[in-house]
Amino acid sequence: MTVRGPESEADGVARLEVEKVIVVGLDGLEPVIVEEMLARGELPNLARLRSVGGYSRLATTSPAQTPVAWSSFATGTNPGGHGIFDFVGRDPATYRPDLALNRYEQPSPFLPPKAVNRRRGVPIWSVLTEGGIRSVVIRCPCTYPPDSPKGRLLSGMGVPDLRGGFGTGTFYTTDPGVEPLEGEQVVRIEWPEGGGGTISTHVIGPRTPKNRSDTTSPITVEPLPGAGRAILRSEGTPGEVELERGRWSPWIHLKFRLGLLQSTRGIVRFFLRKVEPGRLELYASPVNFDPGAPLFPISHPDLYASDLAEELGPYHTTGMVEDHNALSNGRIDEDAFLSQCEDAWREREQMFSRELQRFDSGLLYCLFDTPDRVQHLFWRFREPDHPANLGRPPDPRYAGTIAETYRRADAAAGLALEAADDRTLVVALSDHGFNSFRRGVDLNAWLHQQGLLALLDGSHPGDASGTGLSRIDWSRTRAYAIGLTGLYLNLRDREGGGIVPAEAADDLKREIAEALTGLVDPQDGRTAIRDAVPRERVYSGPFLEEAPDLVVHYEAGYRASWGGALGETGAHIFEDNTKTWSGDHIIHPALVPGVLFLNRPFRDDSASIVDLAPTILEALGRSGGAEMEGRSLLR
Amino acid sequence: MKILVLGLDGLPGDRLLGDNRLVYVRLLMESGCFGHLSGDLPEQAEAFWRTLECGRHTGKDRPVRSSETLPGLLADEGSTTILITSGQSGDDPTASSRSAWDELLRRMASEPWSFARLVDDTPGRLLSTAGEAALDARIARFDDELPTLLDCLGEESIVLLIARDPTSAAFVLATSTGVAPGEVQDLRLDDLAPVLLAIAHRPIPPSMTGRPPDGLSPSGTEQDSDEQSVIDRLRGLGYL
Repeated sequence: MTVRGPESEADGVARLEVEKVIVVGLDGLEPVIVEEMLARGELPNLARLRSVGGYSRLATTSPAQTPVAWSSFATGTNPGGHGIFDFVGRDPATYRPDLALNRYEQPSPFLPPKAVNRRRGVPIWSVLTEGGIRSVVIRCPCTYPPDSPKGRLLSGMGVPDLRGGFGTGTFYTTDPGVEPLEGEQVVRIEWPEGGGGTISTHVIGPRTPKNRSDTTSPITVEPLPGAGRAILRSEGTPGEVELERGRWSPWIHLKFRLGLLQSTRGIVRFFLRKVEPGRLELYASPVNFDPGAPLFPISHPDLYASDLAEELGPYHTTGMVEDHNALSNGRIDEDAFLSQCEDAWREREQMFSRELQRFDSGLLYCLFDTPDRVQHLFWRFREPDHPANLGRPPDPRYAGTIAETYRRADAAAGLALEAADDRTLVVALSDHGFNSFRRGVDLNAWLHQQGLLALLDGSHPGDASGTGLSRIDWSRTRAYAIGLTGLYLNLRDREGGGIVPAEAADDLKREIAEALTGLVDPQDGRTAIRDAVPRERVYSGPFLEEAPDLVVHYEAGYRASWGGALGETGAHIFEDNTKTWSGDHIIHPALVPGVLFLNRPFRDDSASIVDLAPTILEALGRSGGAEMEGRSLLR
Repeated sequence: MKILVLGLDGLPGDRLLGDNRLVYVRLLMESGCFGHLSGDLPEQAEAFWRTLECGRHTGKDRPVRSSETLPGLLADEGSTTILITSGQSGDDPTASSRSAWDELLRRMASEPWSFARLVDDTPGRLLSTAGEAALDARIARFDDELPTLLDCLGEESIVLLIARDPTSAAFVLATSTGVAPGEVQDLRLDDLAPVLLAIAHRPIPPSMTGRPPDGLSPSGTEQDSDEQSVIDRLRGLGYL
């Protein structure tokens, strides 16, 4: 640790003597758990950071969501300054839900479509580039398509799978009764006649641009039930792999033809779940972009993704690496999911270590997002009375899984400490904390009950027919909800069927905010919503107009209901969350701060995630732009 | 990037786009885009093909520099340019056509080429001297030969088929990078060279009057129009 005397503001930058900043992003680390584990001595590297520098809780964004918070980290602005307010948005003209992180544009019918990042603002690596300072950025959310810093960047959350989604796996089964569950495809296969022989089937690739039909790549599976194995053959590389029951296969590189001249490449892994006489169950991961030949660029420079693959082997490229749907849908079990998490950790540790070895100046950022996914799916094991455990008592083997993932996060911080010299600022932080998700709140059901939202004739709350907001009668609807915290007015001249005149908007917002604030769950009399706030009180900046009109902040244990987040109108305002996805963090930001560790003393009284950009820039001798709202935490 | 331009001189545009017997032309149409060319079309064959390569309607006012034409603009260092024009009046049209195609195939298979262009004027000569049946037979052969030519393309490639006669012209364009599929309206002859340059990420010289159209969408394309598919993709997030 560098010992420094008192210094003035003016020469503070020079006296820091920092040449390198290493940022270890640990997605979703919850301060309560971190503090308990620190007290028990279970996080030695974070403890060391705390003792040489400091630790504090870190105020997060509203909403406390990964893409929102990391965009505020990167740009030093509230969401009004970078335009990422939620995973999900809507097209006001058509009320169609859309992905709010990025979109695709085709500038001319003759040119291929290109991805456009919806995160705006100026990320720190762009500020550093202007100053001639190098950055290496690994998997920061909302960096797809890749920014082009001086240095290298591998895109993170926002990168789709080859089907364009966040991750659509495929379940192959000989059971004719299996229907697809959420976010998956089911392919029925026939056990070979007479027992011997092979099953012919295919991997589902991207849709063709022409008619949106599925492209496929053929595979055959030869079951060997006696050995608990199967041989999978494809036209890809390797052409033949032996699948072992309960294990993930290595990556298989496949090619999908999109047209006479056009083809694209992907990588896929298989998990053999069951192989018994007459019965086969096989799961295929989402088909990831092949890092050696991605469908759209996922790195800067273009060849960086491919260099990493050549050096470290193929790796997950989708923004959400872990197959949470496969676990939620029961296609793979907890052990298979954790085995995949282990692979995700290892991949990221290898990338981080590779860059640490080459790192001599500037900024190195690496995100480890597995703690977030593990907590979403394993929170139920911390709470035996969680509704997700109804009828399936939690397996005690997984009671310590979340703690294990925190220890792994601590080890990642250790890699940074090991590589740091006395001219290195080490930052370890999480973007938000974590809490339980026990009860869902359906805002559209509430609006319906309040008479603010009407359904089309013949439709009733809770009807299964129709998707998203499609059953709403816009001519009689004044407000609607879609996304994880947002509520919108059906505003005239903005919404396609808007009826609320601009002059009535403020009163309506106030009326809804007052009614929602303190909303009580009749089941046990607990408060479900801490407050609902007009957007002007939460955000400021050039993209304010893109924000939901009202932001809803839930109390601990609550969250937007499953259907409500997609704009559906359920039969009930409150529902138990019985899904495997049992932990969440999209509640009042004050309830889910992140954690911050620095290897230098810092101003730890009211640290906020928007302070990180100015802190990193100051450490490297740069000042942030006028847009940056936070201030350096360095003392 | 390998760019192949095949010109069928004397073949009415409708015959290229409308003949279901041309199996490989159909496949190219399905994987790419196609349409009739609009705007002024030179009546003379020579002026037509020169306009295609210059990206502007050229008079005889000034000589055309190679740095302003497709073969010159698309040539890569160390690669060759293959320019073949079949048929001399007086030859047996079918024989001269065959020898031109054979030469094209031989050179595409053996040379490190980046731009290849064949203009075959046999269709027009056959129509005027031997009639429909002879033309049909030759066009069918041409379709049969397409897959062999396509095998000589690399991972990154563009194929442009053009048919013209004095009153009409049509094109089929397919690329390895993908174009919005379907029929394109309102594309002009002098737009084609800038389109090829844009796909190949090459600058368009100021001498070209045509432009790659923007905002022009082929008819019949619907991207992500299905709300259910948007929702399915969002569900992959886990939060929904």
